Amino acid sequence: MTGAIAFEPHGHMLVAAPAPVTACTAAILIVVAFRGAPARSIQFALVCGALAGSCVVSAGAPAVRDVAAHAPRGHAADDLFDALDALDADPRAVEHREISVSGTWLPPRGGWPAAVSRRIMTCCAADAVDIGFDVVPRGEVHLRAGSWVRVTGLVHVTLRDGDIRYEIAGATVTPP
Amino acid sequence: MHVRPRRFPSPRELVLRAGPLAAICVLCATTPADTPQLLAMLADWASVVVAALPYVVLGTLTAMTLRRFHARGHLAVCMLAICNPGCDCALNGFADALSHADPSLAGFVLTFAAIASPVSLAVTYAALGPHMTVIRLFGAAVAAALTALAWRVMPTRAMQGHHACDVAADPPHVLATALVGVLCAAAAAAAGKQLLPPQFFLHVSAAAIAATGALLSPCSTADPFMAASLLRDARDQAAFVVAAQGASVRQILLLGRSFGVARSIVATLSCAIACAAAVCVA
Repeated sequence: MTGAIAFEPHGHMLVAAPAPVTACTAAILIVVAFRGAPARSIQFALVCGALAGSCVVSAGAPAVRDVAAHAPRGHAADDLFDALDALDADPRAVEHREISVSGTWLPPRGGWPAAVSRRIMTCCAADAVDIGFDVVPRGEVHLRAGSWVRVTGLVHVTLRDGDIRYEIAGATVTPP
Repeated sequence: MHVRPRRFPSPRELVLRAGPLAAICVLCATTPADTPQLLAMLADWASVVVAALPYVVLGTLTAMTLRRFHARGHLAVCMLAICNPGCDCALNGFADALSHADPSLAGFVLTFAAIASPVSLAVTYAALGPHMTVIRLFGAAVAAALTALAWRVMPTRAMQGHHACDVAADPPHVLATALVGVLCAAAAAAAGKQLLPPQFFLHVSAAAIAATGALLSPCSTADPFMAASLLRDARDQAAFVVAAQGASVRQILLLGRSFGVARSIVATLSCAIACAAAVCVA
């Protein structure tokens, strides 16, 4: 399974480690396994692992589920995180102003508005956190969840469930 | 020429080897395409396991190399466990090497290294700032000291587990036992992440957040960013980062495997006290 994820072009979305590291680990484990178990059972395990790894990789990294509104310190520089940092530092300076950010699109779901977000992954897909803005589009948006978009609109600060959230209202949502 | 007869695996080993493989085959063959939650859970589980494997392998090989060249000296193993550049997953190998050391020393090292490894402190500083980094160090020191003290007064016969004798010295066996812990911890993290409702952290106490952190956090390099993104209160963040590794499923299984269930439970309780102390000073 490790080897399948290492050699799959989209496998890097599941772990933060480079593919050579993952592939080397797979190679070491195969060598150690061959030393400790009968060859036939190892061959069976390799086939099952490759099948499982391929299925996992074809499913891809988990989709965006819920979006947090505050970027952690030490993040990479980009328009969306910079905008969130500016809002956290001084909301009044940015509120009711027009901003333009890029990220992954998430349509409205379960009573929650649409969102544009970026994923921060430290170690693996399981610890990934999606950070971004709620979006209230100007009109209908017919984009698939997970599409890369650019959202332009006015920033509003809202309160939901006791948590401060940042919303881009009257937004135009366009593919890059 | 003497030919060593092949050792037939025990029924338990057969189940441990065949069970997960069979489950994977059945899941791959029968999982319907319209089960996104199940697929996401599977992807999360696989990502945790694959991300942990390099550290597990590196830690195991390093500890076994040290053990071979320093058969009686545990100081090098202790220093490398505390200063290991990898994440807490590397401790699986060091636990086996320390299973024959003084219990209080082993308990201190493994508890401190799990919570406050150099890389986890660096990521905590980057994500949460210097104040939370000091709190994490404080929590680690309290948890490690309490664990060492408790393990010192526990009777020697509480030292149960698979390493009561010198049978577990070959790499395949050590790696296999380490991987079992990682697989179980990954399953708990993946299930917890999918089953918890969104905005869960907004409505619960610091104790519940600590318990959730122990269940969810897959890696010591991940919990600072998770705490920064999901939590606002400094006390909640302190409870999360201390419990996420000190009382995690992986740590409980690691200590139980190498030092016995009783000592593992005592270490978990020590971590809970350390969490409370960290919340008080946060």
